[in-house]
Amino acid sequence: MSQTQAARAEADAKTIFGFWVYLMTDCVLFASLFATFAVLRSSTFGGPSGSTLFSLPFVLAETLILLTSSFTCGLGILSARLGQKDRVLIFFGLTFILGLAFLGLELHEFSHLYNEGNSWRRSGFLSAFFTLVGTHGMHITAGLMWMAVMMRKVSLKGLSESSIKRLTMLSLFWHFLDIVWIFIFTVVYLLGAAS
Amino acid sequence: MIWHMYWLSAASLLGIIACIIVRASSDDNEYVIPAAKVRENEELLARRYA
Repeated sequence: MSQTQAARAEADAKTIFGFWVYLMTDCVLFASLFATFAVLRSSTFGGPSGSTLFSLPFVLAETLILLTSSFTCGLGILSARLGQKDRVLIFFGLTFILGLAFLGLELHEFSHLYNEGNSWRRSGFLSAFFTLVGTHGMHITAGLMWMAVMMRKVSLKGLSESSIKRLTMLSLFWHFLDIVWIFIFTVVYLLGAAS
Repeated sequence: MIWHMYWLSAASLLGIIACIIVRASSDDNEYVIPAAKVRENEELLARRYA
């Protein structure tokens, strides 16, 4: 390996490490939002609680869609490492569509709650709910934009080393969002429906 | 937000996103300074301030 290549590889390793550090700071952000939600979850101010608002089958569908998108994302990154450009586009395209479907369902749920008069102004519980789940939804939106940009780059310029590096970070980000959603599913929806 | 110019904040948000995409898509964002060049610079400085 030449000196430049070695420097390149070292810089790439640092970039990936830096992305992990970013993910951990994001983890801290979500941890504080989860803590806020846990404190405020029973503060319904006479309004509806989680058990009357949430439809578990609907949320289960959202969860399965997001889990499947994580699976196709994993297949996509595997194809990227093998240098199969067409498969990368197919799998990340599938991931994109599933992510978009998830986001659509989430926005549908939000607008439904809002139109029923259960907006973030209704109670502390709903403020915390919209902040936590909305922050996750914003991350999904950012991930979808990133995915669209990467798919355009890959389809125009092929699978360069820098593209594979970026796809690796994108998949880290996507799996991270999936994990956060599992916690939201458990803490917000399952525990909410149980209480 | 203070002046309620929401069209400006919307335009700025789009501008920020566009800038991030352009900057993040660039591959030409770092370069290697060879050891010989570093030595040359350091010796120049050492001579200047000796």
